[in-house]
Amino acid sequence: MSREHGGGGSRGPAAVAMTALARTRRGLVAALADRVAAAVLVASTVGYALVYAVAVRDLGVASRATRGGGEGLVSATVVATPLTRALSGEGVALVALGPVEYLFVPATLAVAVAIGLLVGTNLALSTLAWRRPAVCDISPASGLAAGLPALLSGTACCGPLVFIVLGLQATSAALTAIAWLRPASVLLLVASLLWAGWNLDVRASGSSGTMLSEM
Amino acid sequence: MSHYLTRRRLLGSLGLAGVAAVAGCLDRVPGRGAVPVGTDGASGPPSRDGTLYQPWPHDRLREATVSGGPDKDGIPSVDDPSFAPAGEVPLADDEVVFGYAGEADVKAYTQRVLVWHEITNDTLDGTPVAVTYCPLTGTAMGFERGDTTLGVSGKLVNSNLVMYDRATDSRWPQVLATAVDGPREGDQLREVGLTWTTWGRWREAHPDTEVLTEDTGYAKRYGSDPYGNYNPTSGYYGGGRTLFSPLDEGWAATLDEPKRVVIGARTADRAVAFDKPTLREKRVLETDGGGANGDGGSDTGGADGGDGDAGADADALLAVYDPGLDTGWVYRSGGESVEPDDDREGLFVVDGETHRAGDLPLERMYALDAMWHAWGGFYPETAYVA
Repeated sequence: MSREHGGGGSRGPAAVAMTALARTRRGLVAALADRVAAAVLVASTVGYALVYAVAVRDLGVASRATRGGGEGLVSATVVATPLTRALSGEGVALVALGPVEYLFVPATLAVAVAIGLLVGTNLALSTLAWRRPAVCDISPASGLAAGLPALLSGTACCGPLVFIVLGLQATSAALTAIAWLRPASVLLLVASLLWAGWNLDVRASGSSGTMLSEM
Repeated sequence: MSHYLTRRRLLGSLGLAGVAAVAGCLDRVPGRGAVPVGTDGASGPPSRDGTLYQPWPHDRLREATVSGGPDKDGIPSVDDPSFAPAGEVPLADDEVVFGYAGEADVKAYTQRVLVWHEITNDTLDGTPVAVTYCPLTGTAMGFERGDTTLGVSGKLVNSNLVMYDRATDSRWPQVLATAVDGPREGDQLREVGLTWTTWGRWREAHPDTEVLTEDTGYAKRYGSDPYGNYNPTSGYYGGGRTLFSPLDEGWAATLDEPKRVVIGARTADRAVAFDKPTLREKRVLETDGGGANGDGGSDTGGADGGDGDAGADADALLAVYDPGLDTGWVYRSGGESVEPDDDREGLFVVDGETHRAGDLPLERMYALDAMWHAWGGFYPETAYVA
């Protein structure tokens, strides 16, 4: 088989990038059409967002006193100026479900879902490759591995907290590194996604697509 | 603090001294009202009367200032706090609170709320005050704030909260109570004493107290302390190393327990740390007089100690233990002998008369609980009394 745009050995970086984008887009369309890959996408995105929320301590078990305050099984407290708080990156509502409470911080949730989607799409493409073993050797673990720095970056907002957890002494260099974790993880995930899309060349035909590969 | 306050009432309820450190708190101290002017004519917090011991060159402190992670105001101060009567707030007895008992106001500021905000801009007995708490150094301090408010700069020095005032943007490390950067550099704040205790103890001592509620204007998971727990102590509070490099590490040679709690006090020219666990056992601790720093202090174990140099006793500082609030009160001994009452805890005999720990007829010092690494880092020449 041959790729739609050929090997591209003499083409410029822009053309290569466009090809990678096109292939990735087709791969994602094919993944969404595959029930298992689509399920992986949704589950991993939601799962990642949940783990992220725990990592930044937006989600957890309420304290004794808070639980003792009892307002029923479910309660929600919304701040008086939610828009102002949302724009400043603060929480706008605290939702309690029994002993579990969730702090709704729109900015944090947006970041968590965005990174979760990147992780999810990586995993979805990996799943597609796994379900079509003839295509190429994209490891399903690639999406997970790329997502780890993103998960760790969940502590970036809280600065030294990661050092408390790890029992390390914070230095300015280490704090700087923490601050770069989130953008670095996004870049890694995007690169991983494009790499997967490049290797998993899908020609859309039918509901699940047909895969073309040189590998 | 407000000139509305009487000294007796204040001494009866606060953990602060009657000298320059709390000059602004006392109705008899002159020299109030001169508020320095910052940039653009904005005035910042009022300056203290008299000098507070501060051993570090400001450029060294600025060099040692690091980012704590969040940006300026990334940890938002509470600027419109609300309070409720003691019976209306579901708090466990072992929750840590920072208490203030004044002439008109009796309030408890909960650690569970302040750990998320670090500063509450409030008014106590008619005087604008900032109640501040730094989790990494275990220090709770009040400051007069004048016509401005204090905020969290996002910076730390010696692991300690660096505050800024919103009038001049000057930077004030909390424990030093001194501006080390900005238009107010060199000025020092008027301190307002707070008592570090637990909710059950505070409520029993002050049934009429109000307590800071979680209605702060922010949604936070109050009660979920990102650093650990105090009851029992765990996480960062429970031990282990400091999170950031100390200004000075000489304290480790005296006692290599960074998180051990001391009760610190400073005069114009020295600092003293009383070991709090030891104070609980011995009830009275006293320096050996003279005020020399770096002498390691003395282990008096009672009123008969620290009298090796009778001529210097007037400068000695002593701490007495108050079991009701689990706190220590620090006084200048003035050459007086202080002995614990053998039969009743929390009572002490001075000049033949019995007094409560918080109401000895001596000059009381501003004092605060602090982690040993913080105190030793800021005051390398501090006396350590145990």
